[in-house]
Amino acid sequence: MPKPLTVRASNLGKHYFRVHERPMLLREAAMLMAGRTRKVDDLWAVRHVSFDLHAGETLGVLGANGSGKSTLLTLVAGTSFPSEGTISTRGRISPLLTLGAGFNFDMTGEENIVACAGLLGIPVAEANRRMQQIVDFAELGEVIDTPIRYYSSGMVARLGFSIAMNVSPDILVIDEVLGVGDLRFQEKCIAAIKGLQDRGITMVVAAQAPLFISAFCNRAIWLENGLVKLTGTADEVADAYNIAMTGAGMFGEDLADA
Amino acid sequence: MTAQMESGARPPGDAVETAPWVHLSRHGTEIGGEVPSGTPRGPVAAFTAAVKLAWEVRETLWVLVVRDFKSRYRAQSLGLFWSFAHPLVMMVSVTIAFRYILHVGIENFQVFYLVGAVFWQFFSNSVIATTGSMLDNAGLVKRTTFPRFLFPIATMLSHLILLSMELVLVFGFFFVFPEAYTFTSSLLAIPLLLLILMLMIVGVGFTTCGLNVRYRDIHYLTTSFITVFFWITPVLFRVDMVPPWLQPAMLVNPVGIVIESVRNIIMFGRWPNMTHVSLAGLSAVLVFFFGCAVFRRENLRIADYV
Repeated sequence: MPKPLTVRASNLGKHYFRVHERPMLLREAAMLMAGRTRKVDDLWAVRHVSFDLHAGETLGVLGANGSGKSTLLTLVAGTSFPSEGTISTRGRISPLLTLGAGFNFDMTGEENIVACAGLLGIPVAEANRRMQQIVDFAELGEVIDTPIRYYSSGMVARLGFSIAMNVSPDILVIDEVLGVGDLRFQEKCIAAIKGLQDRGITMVVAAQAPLFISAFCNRAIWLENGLVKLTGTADEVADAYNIAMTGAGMFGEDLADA
Repeated sequence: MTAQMESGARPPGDAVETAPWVHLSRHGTEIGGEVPSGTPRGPVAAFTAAVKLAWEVRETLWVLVVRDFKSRYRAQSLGLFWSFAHPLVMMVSVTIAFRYILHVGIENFQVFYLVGAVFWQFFSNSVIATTGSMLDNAGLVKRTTFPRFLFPIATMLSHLILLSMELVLVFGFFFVFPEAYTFTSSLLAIPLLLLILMLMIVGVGFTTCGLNVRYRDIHYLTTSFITVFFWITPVLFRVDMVPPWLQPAMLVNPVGIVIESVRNIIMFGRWPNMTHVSLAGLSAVLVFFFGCAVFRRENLRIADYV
């Protein structure tokens, strides 16, 4: 039985004006109306990107800094609107674009779990039911009653990751946040992600390390200056990217480390 | 780990099969069929969808409201005491200034002022807070898909909690100044007046917070606007003290009508003037839908500028 289609990007594009100071102030709006426009550059952060994803598939997004990976991910997650084309999704999305988005540092871990899970679409009762699971996964134990202001940054990140993993999303969008916690915790994260994949969750993952992409993803796209440079199976794209980046003599060692 | 997560979780495949497609394009959101038609929902459909969405996530909205409310007081050792202290201090000082220095001949000035000030503070503080609500919640706006129009509403509701506490204070003063109060069935009109005020706040708040993301000076503009607004709102005076040529300005101000009516209800047990109230209701509704329209337009780019 073919798996259902869950994400379809058709000719996606995101356009920004590159202005030299942001935000625009009223004065500039007035100048605009008076016809005295300031020179602004056009910037297509992402353009002409199309792909289809079925339930259970994982798409890796590779590319240098500033190549449009994060922009593409915000479009898939639905936190920003495309300037061109359409992104269609089906099911609950859990965006993991930064860990602990929406945490309030004056509130306890427990309160933050309820609030965050709610923001990801989990009703309060369900969040309370999963509380223990989330706390255990984040390895926080007793400190869950403490305002997260007093947590270490690793603890906050672990909590954020644990929430995102445990809200049973249909689509998970992950932006380079996997370097969380110590090595042991990272291994646990990887196991958790594999578990989600087995359960048929669709994922879109941005990463710098080709090794990671080939280990996790079925397919990958390589972005360069917002355009698709190469698309194909994860191994193909990861190899090509690896060769291009190390061949150019840049970041070679970083990649090996990662 | 995997086994643990599988317990209590639903199989995602099934949910996906029944979930509707959500299409995002530069025109906005479209929900429904497999293939986007390219014509997103019109304003009416968008509005009903927003109301439905708000109802679906009401629990989380409430969590946000409580969070907003608590976070304003949590870091302070005396916490809520300050929210009571402020109107009291204002009441005493304004009463001294107006009664004994300026000799304003309003009876029971302390209660007169307190009722007006509590409602005025609700309006002005909510509007200023909602204006900044997108930027205050920048993390959530950029990183979650929680409906954005609920952030200003959550801010307004958390101020509403404060207002309800201050109302306890207002009615509590009955035991200190019983001569200033008359309680009749007209008290029943207060919820309606409150609703008008809330519509007004959300309307103004949608407009200012939508625009404030792109034009950060809106925040300063709003603050100045509120200051001017204070003086065309009968907080420190009665409408009948205003010279006739200025009276129309008072009548187009729904906040003023609400304050005047609430004061007449609490202090004199008088039913509000229904013509004035319907006028206020009408303008509040207009402001509300104007705010919705502005917000709907700005919403497409909010995440790019936050």
